[in-house]
Amino acid sequence: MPRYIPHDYRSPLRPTWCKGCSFYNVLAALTGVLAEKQIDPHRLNVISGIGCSSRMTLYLNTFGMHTIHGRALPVAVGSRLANPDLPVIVAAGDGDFFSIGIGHFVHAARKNFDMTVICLDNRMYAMTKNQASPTSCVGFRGTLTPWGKTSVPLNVLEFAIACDATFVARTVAGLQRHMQEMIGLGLGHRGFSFIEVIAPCRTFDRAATLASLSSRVVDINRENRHDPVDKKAALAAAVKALDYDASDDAPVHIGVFRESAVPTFEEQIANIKKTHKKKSSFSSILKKYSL
Amino acid sequence: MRQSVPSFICRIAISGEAGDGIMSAGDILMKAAAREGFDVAVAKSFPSNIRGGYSRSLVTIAEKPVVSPIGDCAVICALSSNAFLRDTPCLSPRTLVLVETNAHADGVCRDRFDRLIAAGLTVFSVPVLRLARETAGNSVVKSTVALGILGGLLALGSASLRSATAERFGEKGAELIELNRIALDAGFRWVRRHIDRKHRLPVPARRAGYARKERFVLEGNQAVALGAIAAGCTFFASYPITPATAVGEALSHLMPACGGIAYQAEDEIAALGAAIGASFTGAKAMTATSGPGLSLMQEFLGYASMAELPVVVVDVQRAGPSTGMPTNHGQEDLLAAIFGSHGETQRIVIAPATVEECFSATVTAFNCAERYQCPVIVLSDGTLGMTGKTVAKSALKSPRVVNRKVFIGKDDKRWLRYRLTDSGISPLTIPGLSSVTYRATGIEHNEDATPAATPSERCAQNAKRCNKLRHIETEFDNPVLWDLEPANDAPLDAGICAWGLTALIAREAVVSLRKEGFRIAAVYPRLLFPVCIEAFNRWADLCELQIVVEANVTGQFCSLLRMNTRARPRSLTVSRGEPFTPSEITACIRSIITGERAG
Repeated sequence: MPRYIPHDYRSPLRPTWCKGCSFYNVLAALTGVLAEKQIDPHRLNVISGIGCSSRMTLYLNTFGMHTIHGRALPVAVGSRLANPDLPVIVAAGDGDFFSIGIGHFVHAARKNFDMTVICLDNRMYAMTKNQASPTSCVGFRGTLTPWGKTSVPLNVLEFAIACDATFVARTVAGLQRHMQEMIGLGLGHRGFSFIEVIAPCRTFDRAATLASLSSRVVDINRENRHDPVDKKAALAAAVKALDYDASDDAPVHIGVFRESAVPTFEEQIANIKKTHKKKSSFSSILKKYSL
Repeated sequence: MRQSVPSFICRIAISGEAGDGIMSAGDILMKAAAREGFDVAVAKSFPSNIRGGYSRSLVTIAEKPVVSPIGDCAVICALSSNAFLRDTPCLSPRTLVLVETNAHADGVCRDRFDRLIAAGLTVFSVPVLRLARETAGNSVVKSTVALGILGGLLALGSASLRSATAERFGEKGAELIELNRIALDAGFRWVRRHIDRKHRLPVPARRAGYARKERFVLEGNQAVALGAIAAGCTFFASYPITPATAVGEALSHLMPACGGIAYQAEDEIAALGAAIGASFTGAKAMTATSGPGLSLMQEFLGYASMAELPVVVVDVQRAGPSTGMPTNHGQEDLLAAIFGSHGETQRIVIAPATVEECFSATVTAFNCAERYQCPVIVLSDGTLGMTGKTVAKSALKSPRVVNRKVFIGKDDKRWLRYRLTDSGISPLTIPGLSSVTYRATGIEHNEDATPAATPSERCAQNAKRCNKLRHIETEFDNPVLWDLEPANDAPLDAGICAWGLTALIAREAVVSLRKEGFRIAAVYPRLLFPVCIEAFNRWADLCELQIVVEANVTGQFCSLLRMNTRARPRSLTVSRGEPFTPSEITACIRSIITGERAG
């Protein structure tokens, strides 16, 4: 008998998400993976920013930090460095990661901190009721862009690969098993794992439905035999993956785009610490400043 | 009757352009004099350039512990025209001025030179550059020639200067050490030949019985770093910023040996964010920055207050606003440190006044943060942070350290992360210890850490956060340092209050004013916020004329006292990028008091 079932990872708090929101599926996948891996709730730190998706932290009964907008990653970095034995999951939205917090993303990825970073990408700001985000399409009509968004959407997969994230994957919130598989792989990967979950907003985006997105998926690893170890191929695959909503039948590419084995930041710090095996006393430290 | 001999104190300014070796010269002179048994401080001013711009080391050599590192100089040694012009207005006629021959050759400098002589000052034109070229064959050692000249003037042992110089340049190779030795000797020789004994300022004989081992040479920023280590800090994150970078530099070297980590973040927001993440996870965590960084940290400071997480933020202040004057003195961030960030919370703000207090204040900051579960700000400043000083070992003795109380138990009724308690301090736990978990959040919450928006829950938690610091003064040995007149019926002339480095400078002014016969009640707060209301009310009751001295233009602590206490002080401020000098404070207070008397 397993010790934990998915429900054991849920906090008593009832989500404030709209009825039928795709984020419920992500929450279910997350608790599913945690139960699969039998991670103790008190031995996990789930860190989020601000927004609909960042409420995720509050609905889990693990340790968690619901931080401030755009800054989940630096907090996660501090948690990883202070206790490298404590796994960290970061969950936030596209606006949080790629608008206000994009600077932190670059450095957390580049430094290869060992954490699983899940972006619940609904391609808009939903909590503030319908504004354009960096991943929204050209022409997106939000309350602050009533004449249509003029900038091109950010390709988060291409961006993550360019930032040297060592694991980059995409899934869709309608595919429970695949979502669970991708999050599981991310958790198992040693280093910065980035998972984009396409999770449309039911309330403000009636066009993108989970059913339609799920029916158009193309698994790049199985169907296209994409090799995630090759960075150039990964970038090429990511470029092709952007326009999944260009038409009603455009393919939605999912799977592991990039995977590479590189020492994590934490491992390198541990190596530096190893050279100082013997802990110095305060008085021996003081000697450095003696007259 | 025994005549008391005034104890020896001598301030020497060496100035020139950035890149001239002025900082090295100051450090070497400090070390050499310290090894001869003196208490020494060196205050540094330099521009935020790598090459060029006014640069000065102000070295105070004294028999008794140095009170103020800033003050009037007995000797001024200027190596550039720029430095000569900057350092020589309003000098006392007793000042000995040495100026590089080329630096007063023409124009304004020549006029200044002539005027100083006309005013009766002793001025020597010193061919430092020529001596460097002729003896060592390299102008790069000119500051070492100047050092030799100062060594000769002070009759410091050439051996201690030589060894201190060799240590400074040791890493750069034997050739450079030899050039510097030649330059030093040239300086000593020049004094023997050209400066009459009556103009020299020999230090008293080497003090017997001092133990070199019992003393250290520390800068304020290094003392902050050591304070953090002594308090048990294992996580430090920062982003490079003048004049706070040295805190991180010291900790980067020290942390691995202490089992901790010093992390260079991508910006100041990330630095405080990482410190908060580390604190949640169980580490004692700190970041250090200056004004612009403090501005960036505001939102996270609010988060730490709301989520009630311990964290220490060191603000090594500089003159602002905006980029302002990165390497210059200012005490302008006080109100930003207390009230910055939106919404209302109580934040602890502590200001060290001395290099020794940089150590103890940092320990206290950690103790307060860990006990009261909130951010604590240590307000240092660039001048204090970069002031080097001899520090007695006793000042660094293992301090009282508070560790956070961690709740370990089952998830039962006793565990409520934000439980309403009499003290306002709720149980706290860290990941991995027991089955209890919680989600820290910046959203208003109830006792259970669950987001909550009812008026009653909001009021209860808000009151808890605001009231939990009401007994904060008990964490301090002396939240306010008192310096009163002996009790008698004679009325007091004035009450003086100063904080941070200005307190140290004001202490010297208070000594002078008392020598002139003024009766002064001085108070030097270390805990700036929450304001020590009772102490300041008492101070206000003692003296009718109250004066707050500080290095900002709006009188920030003065207004804080007016807001919170019965004190109605006048404000004496300076905001020019340089600290007050003791004689300026003395003169200003004297004139305020005599003005009051004249009615």
